[in-house]
Amino acid sequence: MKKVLVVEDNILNMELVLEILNAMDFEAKGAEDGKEALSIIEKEQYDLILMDIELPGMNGIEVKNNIKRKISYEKVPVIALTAYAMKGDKERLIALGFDDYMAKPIDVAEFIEKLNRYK
Amino acid sequence: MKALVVDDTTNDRMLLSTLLKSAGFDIKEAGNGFEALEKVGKEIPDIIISDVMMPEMDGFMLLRNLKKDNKTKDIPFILYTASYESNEDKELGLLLGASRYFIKPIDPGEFIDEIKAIIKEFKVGMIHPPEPEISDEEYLKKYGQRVSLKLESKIKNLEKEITKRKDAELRYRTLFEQSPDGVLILDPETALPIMFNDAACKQLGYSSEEFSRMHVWEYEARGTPEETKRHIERILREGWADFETQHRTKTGEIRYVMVTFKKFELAEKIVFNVIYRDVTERKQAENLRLEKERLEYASKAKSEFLASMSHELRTPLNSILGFSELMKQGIAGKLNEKQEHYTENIISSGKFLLNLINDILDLSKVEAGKIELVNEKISLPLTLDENISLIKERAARRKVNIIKEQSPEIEFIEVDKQRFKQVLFNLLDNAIKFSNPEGGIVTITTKKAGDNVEISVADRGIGIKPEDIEKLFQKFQQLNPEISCKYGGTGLGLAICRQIVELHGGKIWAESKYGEGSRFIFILPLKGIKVVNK
Repeated sequence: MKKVLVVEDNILNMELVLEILNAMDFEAKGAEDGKEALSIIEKEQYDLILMDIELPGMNGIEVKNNIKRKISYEKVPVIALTAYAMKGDKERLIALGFDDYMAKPIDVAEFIEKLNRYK
Repeated sequence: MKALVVDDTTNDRMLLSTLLKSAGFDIKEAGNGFEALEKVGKEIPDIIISDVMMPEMDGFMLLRNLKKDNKTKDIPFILYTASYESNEDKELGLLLGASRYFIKPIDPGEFIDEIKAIIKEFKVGMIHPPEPEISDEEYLKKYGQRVSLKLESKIKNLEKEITKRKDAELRYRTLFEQSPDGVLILDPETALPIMFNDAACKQLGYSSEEFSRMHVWEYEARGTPEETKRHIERILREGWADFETQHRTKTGEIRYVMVTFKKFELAEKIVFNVIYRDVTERKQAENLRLEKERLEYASKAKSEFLASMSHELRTPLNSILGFSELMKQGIAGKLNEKQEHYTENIISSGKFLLNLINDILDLSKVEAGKIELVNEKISLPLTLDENISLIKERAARRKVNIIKEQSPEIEFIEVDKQRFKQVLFNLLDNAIKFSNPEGGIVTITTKKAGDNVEISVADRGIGIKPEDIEKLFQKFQQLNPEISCKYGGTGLGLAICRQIVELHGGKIWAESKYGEGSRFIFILPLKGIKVVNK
């Protein structure tokens, strides 16, 4: 079972994403900020990370950079999952080193389709 | 010992007097020959030291007169001159009976020693003062020569001096008159100009005749005349001032002016030298730059606000749409018919809200000038086909047939492709939406119209009442609540279309017969849009 870490400060959105991931048979866990996320990945190895951008403390870009700095996480895909969905946001985040991008609000069907590729 | 000093130049006379006083002489002074004769008449001095060139009676004439009088002919007489320095002059002086003939300047010590020696010689009677060895006739002839020669050279010098001064004046006058700045001499008491150059009156659009009668406060655009008067008084106390102000021209235009005031004395009257430098163009450029910065700042603040608003609205929508979708899919248990219907209502309202957010942001960006057109050369027929294929499915669902009527005159146009397609998509979408539910025809027409390319989308749907046509392109102006309910849409699509078309320098409008259908037309100027004739 692939393990997914969801970094998201909005608890309702966290619940939604975990719900879908569980229904898709992922082993999913949530972290509410960058600090928590970094302490989790110190202990466990995850296969995929979904990263909100607007977070308390470190923003999603900084958290992603810190994660990618770990050798064991160099190749782990980090997908931006964000409400920054204006023209140019996707290109900007991809350019900053995210492996993929999804805009909020998510289309559940599209979300499932995309996540299936990482199974 | 008594000495009489005769000199018309006060300074020279004082200098000589002081020198002699310090050597123990009693001094009497006279300003010319006549005065000297008068003084000698009252009291005979031990020695007379006289300048040559003096008004009324010069040194030669004084000497001649003294030598003619027995009472005075024995007084030692010294001529001391700066201007009669030639040998002939000296010769004449000695011929007239002068004891010595000195050319200025002479070393003071030597001078005093000489004088003391002469007096001593006279006292012991060793030497009598020389008698004039010259007849009146001869004297007058020589004297006439000397004086006229002297006058001639004096006049020549004066002429030289005058030419020099004229040159200097011409230089200053040219500087003054050719100056691009207004330069004037101002009377601080009246605040009227005493003199001024062309630029001073031209800057303000007055003739020099008019300007010569104008007080400073008549063209000063800042403050009251009282305040201007007080300002001038203050500058008079402080001596100078540099400041920026505004002047009002004859036609009422406001000019920005850098002003310099400097106090100076002119023929015992205190005046100002004033310079007016017109800096309006520089000032306007500066204002323009500030305004541009302000707008850029405002625009940046607006787009930051838009970005954060978009983010804040999308975040809760994620839960609304996501959870309702999960519910609808029965993840939380199978729904009954009503529950499913309600859930669908939540989803469709949520999606509508999302579209609204997207449209509002898009429109705001266009209105804020945030949209920069990225023009490229595109094929008009190909782009139409792309648009049609995007909407084909929707058209088929509503049994609408899309027909193209293309002019072969226009193949390529230069536009922002994304934005152009957005306009076309909007018009096609509307045309399909408002076509008869039983099916209909939507026609796209392209043609060259004068200097424009004209593109129109026509339907045979419900049409628009004439009084409603005006409202079509305004924001949130769906014609009635029934329509928005029945046909959906945010009421922003046509407003966005208009903004985009106008950004391209074009125009968009609608024609309609109520009940028979509508036609939406937009034109884009060919100027800047390249057209290739087939």
